[in-house]
Amino acid sequence: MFSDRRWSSACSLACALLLVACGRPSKPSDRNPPPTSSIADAGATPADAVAVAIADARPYVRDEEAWDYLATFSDEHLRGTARAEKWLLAHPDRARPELLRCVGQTWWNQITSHAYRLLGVIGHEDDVPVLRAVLMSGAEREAHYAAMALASMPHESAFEALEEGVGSPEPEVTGTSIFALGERGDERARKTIERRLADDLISVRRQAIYALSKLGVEPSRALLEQRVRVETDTGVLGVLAEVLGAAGSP
Amino acid sequence: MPGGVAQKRETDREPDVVAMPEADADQDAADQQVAVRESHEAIGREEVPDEGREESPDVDEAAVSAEDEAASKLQHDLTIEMGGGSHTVTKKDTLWEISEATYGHGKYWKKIRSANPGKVSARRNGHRDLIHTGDELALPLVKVGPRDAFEAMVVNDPALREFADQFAMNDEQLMGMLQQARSTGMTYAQMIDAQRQFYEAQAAERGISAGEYIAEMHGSIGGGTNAGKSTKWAEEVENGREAAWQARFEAAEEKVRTQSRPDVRQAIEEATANGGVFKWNPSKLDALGVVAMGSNWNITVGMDWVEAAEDDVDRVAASVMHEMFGHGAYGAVRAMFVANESFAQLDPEEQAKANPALVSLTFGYWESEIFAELIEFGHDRVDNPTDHAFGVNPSGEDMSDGKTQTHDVRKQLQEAKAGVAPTLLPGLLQGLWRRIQNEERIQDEARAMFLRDVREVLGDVL
Repeated sequence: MFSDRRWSSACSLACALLLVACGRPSKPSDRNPPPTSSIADAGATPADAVAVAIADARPYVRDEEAWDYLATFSDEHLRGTARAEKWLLAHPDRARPELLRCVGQTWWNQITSHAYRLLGVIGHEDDVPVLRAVLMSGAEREAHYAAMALASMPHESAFEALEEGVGSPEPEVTGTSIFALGERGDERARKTIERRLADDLISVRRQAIYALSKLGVEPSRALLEQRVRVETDTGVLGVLAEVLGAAGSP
Repeated sequence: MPGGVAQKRETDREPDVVAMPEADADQDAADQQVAVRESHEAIGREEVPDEGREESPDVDEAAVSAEDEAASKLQHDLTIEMGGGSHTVTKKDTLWEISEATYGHGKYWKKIRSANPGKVSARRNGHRDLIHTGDELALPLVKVGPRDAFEAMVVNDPALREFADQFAMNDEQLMGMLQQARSTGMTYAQMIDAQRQFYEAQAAERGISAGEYIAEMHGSIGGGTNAGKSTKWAEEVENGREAAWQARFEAAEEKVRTQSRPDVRQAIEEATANGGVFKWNPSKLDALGVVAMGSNWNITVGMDWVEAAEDDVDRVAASVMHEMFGHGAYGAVRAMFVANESFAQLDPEEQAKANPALVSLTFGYWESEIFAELIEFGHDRVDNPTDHAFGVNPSGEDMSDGKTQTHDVRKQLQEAKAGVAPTLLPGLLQGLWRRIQNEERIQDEARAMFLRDVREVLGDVL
């Protein structure tokens, strides 16, 4: 699923970027989360490995105020989160280290998806490599949220990371990257996505059709109609009919 | 006895206690409202640091006073102390009727007789029950059952019956509600009026209108975030995985029902007996960014919950106990009712400035939430995907390692302090405390820490 070489590359990249991204002075703290290195030692998933890279990038000292605001997102009913989000977005330099910490945490909790989302909204280019590393890790859920964060970032590097994701040998990464490119709405991705209409995997073909529907059906109508004639999967045919029907006749 | 005061816990008697905004419009409204609030002024009676957000006090989570520890023991007491004061006898009065009016049933008449030696004479037939016009009879404090207490209190507070009819209550729930009424010393109408006046006073302090104040408080306390569109679930749908997820949910539910710890299984059975179900709504929960939601005895879950359950059923035990059992068992939330009714008393133009869907969540939700958090405490662990009642769990684990919010009980108390009329809050808390004292699923340790937090946030009100 994830080669050692790519794992090392991702970790190195994440480490390097974290050192830049999280430039706050630091000192060891007894409130630091426990060391996560043991996860990697224990044969962790690729996403855990990326988490290790982020966690170990530098000694971490929690910004209590930023953390308190971010922790609000663990409220079962999200009370107070509108105010918290406002503060976090107004203080991106203080929010980002905590958000990155969440992205690299060892288990998924209610904060995590919001952390990815907020990183995307803040849209700091230094975070692109970290998100790219998570995307390329192949861990399905993390990859999806990393891709969506990249989709909302305006930088060229974010676009390139998603295009790279489309070329991943991991079908989950390919699919989620196509999905995110569709959400991003960048016309330059059309050709890349169109090529995936004929992918061997049904899930990738469905994602490609969906992404093209987000970009606009008309420029790809001929290809989509051609696909109708050769497609064998009834589910994909249903999606094609839906997309072409929704777009109306040329 | 009113039909609504049921003998058993019933379902569908209460609005969605979680009261999460159903529509994106509500979320958007909340977001817009939060933008209004910049003031760091105190909310309520004392300064609340940084718009009600808790400072980070260094609290020894295990440290509770001996007094709180002693008061924290389970106490299954379903009585309300009624009486007190006196009654001046008028023509046609009987001890039975005085007892009925005071304690809800005539059978307590001998208590009055005993408390008034020399004022009750014997009849010719030997029955000693004769009272005399103009005499002032002392009415002793008597512990009576909740159904008798209800009958006594509803005489002067007819809205109690409306509430009871609307939310059929078991004895526990009725006892809590009556304790609140008893402790505040107010009728429902007076409580609602006090809360409305509180809205207006808070608004006046800020130089804004009541509706604007409520809207600001939505942003400070009650408003959820606009988490945006449901991308993960949308991708799963595009992948044609809905059926696969449905199957995973069903398997996860079965796993939780059969492999959870015995006390969790028992709680699920009780919730199920009351009509509670596991609901699968990944689209909504993904869009909101929450793991699970509750209403009545139900728990509604999404993909994150299923994945956590697949990983380890104990990871979702806290959410099951919180959403399915905690809120379900608590039942109707009086503070939410008062919040909504007092909001409804404002001028329509003031109501239009706030989001009605968020009123009860903002000003009344704390009551049920504290109860649910205390229920959850016994099952909390560091990898619980949502927040934590206190900084530690029963095993002594430091919950801050879980990278989610700790001290939710304290947060709820601060929100209550910020948003509830000072004349109401102690009484509402005393009713809540009775429920907490009587609930066997709440651990003594949680009760003690709750008392400690109450003292720290609100002072000596219990």
